Amino acid sequence: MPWELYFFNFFTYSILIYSITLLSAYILIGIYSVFENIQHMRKHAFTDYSMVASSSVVPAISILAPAYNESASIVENVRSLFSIYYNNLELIVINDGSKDDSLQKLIDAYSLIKVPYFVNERVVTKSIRGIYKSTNVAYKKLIVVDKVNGGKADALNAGLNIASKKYVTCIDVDCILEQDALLRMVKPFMSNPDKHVIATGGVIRVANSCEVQGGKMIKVHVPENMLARIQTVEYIRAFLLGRMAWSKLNGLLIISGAFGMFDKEIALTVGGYDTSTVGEDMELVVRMRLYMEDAKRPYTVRYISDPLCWTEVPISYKILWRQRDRWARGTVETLWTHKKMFFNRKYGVLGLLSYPYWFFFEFLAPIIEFIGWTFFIVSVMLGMIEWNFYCLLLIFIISFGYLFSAFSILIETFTFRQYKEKRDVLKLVSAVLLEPVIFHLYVVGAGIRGMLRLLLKETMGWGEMTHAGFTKK
Amino acid sequence: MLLLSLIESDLQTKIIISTILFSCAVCAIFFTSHFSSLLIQSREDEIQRIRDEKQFLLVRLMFDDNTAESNDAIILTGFDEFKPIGKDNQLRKRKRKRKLLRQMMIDEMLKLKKNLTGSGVEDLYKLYDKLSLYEDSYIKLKSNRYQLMVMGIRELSEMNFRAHYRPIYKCTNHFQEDVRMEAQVAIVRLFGVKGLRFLSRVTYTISEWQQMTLLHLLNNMKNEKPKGIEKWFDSKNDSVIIFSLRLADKYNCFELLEKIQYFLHHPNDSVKIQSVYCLKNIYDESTEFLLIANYEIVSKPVKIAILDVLKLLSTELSIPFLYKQLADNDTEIRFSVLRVLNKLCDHNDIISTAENELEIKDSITLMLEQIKSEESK
Repeated sequence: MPWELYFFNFFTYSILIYSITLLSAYILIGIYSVFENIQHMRKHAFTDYSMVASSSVVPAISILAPAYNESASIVENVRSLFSIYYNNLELIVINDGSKDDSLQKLIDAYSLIKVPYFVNERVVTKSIRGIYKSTNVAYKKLIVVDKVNGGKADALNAGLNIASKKYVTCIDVDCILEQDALLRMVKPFMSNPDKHVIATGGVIRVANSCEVQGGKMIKVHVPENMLARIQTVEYIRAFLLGRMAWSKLNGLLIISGAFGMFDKEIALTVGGYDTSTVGEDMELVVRMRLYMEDAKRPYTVRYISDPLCWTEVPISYKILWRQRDRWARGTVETLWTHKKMFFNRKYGVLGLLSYPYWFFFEFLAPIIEFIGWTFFIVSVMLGMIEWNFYCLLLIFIISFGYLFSAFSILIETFTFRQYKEKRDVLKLVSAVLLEPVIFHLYVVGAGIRGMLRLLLKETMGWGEMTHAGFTKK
Repeated sequence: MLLLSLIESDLQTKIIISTILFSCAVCAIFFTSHFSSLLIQSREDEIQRIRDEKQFLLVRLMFDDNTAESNDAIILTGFDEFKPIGKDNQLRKRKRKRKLLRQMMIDEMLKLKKNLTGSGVEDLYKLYDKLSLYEDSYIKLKSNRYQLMVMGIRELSEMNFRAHYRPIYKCTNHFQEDVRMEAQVAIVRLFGVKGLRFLSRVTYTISEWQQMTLLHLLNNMKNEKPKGIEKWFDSKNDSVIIFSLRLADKYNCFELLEKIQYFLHHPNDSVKIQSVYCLKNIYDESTEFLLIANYEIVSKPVKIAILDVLKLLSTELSIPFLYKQLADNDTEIRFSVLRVLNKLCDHNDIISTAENELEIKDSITLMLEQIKSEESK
């Protein structure tokens, strides 16, 4: 047998084995997640959050909302955050050196004045130009921080330095929170006497085309835009069939930057957000976990599977490309920074399961897929292709993708059932069918590009997002 | 067969068969998703329809002018479906429908209760009793499934049905956390502060969340002092001590001052912190000095708590101690000290003492300005 054939067969079967392992991992994690989701739903169906929502004895929370060039919607977004049903909170909006008139709009809308403020700079940040508070008692919970531009992580660090409460919630300023979202997020911190809960994360759902009134989600719709619709399926799949299992295994490595709650003291002790990475949300969680592991303190990171936070997803390919570029780059940066965890028994589940999973199936997956496609094209050009084999393998993989996505829709229907209209399931299914064609390859490309940019050491700024706006009622 | 042929076949056939299997599974899931969605929707519509239909009966039962007589009349005549599920040979389907209807009735009552006060709530309790809905709740309480137990406990306590309190009380130290928590809340809901006697027997940790829920519940009740706090102070369960300290604070138990001060020496920091905060409300002339005497030997979080309390209790006699603490390297502590000094001294004095005697130059002025601006609001 000529060496080309050996190489060809070796390569083909390696990709096949990798694919089978990946699919098996997805199946196992998916099934485990489903059981845990059902368990979670049963357990929390009895918690009466409304009973304590208005209570004065709820723990104090600081909300950190960084903003950059959000002039068009900042006033409304802050108003929306004020509508959250929680008694004991402070809202810190960090204007990260916006080039537009975001700050002036906030000053005018909320009657802000510059106040003397001592910032205990436990994490070094770009300089703070001023701290603003409202003269109107109705907005006494609001603190606006104006600082020199330093990126999202730097803005969040400034917020961490200023936050006076025990728990901090980091959110994207344009997110719509469910009314009891904060209570649901804070509950694990107060319900685990045996383990120190260092962070909690919630489910993010897609808000495009949904009806929003006064900062509250009124009616949920499947997005009209196909790109957003596909991302809806993607979010359902990721949150419903993935994170719950990792949380239960105490191996969750990421809490979405759009909505997460942290123990402020631990976050500050580990040095806050890393400003040198674009994946600051994942990196902080990993660093906090490592700190607790090294200190040998019993701890956990909890995930709440109820839909708590709604956010707009990109509807243009350009913005989507940039977003996925950032995500891929952030993953690689975090994995590289904490490479000592790789199959390190000292870190238990984290080192033996979570890290290898992220390495092989999140970081390597787009690379292997890319190599696979390149190999396929080269094989076609050299006339070495076994068409039957390749076509069938492709159909097999696509079928599995369909199966997994369809399964996630099924589980969504049986559990949280956010999409109630009769046509919604059909709309989501149509998105599933189109995903491999108009979405998947594009996302793989963006991921590869992100990794290349990292290799080339190209810098990235704030992840800008253009908002199409919600359907206002 | 299919599996056997799959094992025996060559790679191509394996992939073909797997693809067919997957495609079939995909189609099955697509259809199941769609039809289950339609099924759930139609079931929800049906339940809503029945709910709307029966709701007016509930309202009629609740708000009829001749409540007592008319209730009986309605129950006997037009309200047959809500009669208790007997042990006779009713058809299984009818039994199930009646069970569903009775559960709907309980759910509606629980919802309605949130919006009612006074005699309206009393009428609701009577109706729950009259329709023997407690029997359904009791069956749930006796179930082996903890979700049902929780439901049963909640229904019985929300409807103020005290006759079955014993099994609920037994559950206050149940090994299953949700059952235990619900039972503790239920007993307090039913008996107010008297219900707190479960603290004497509870061996499991009472979480912060549970303590918050219980305190919130007590806030909405008659302000009656609980008996036995002193006994709970002797508990081996630290969470019981912490909760008892919170109770002592809430009910201003001045007679327990000595005991509360004693907890400043407890090995658990959380107990220490709680006792410090308790002393904010319950104190005498010696408390200030006791806190100061303990300050050096406690951890940072306890120190912060002590300074927080001193903001209220400190007198001019504390000033030398406070100036000494102003030299602490920890900014958080320094800030807390300044908050206390701000109450006792003039700003200029603080700044000059800090700069001249302690050689602290940075940030004191800004900190004081911030404190001043916060307190002027």
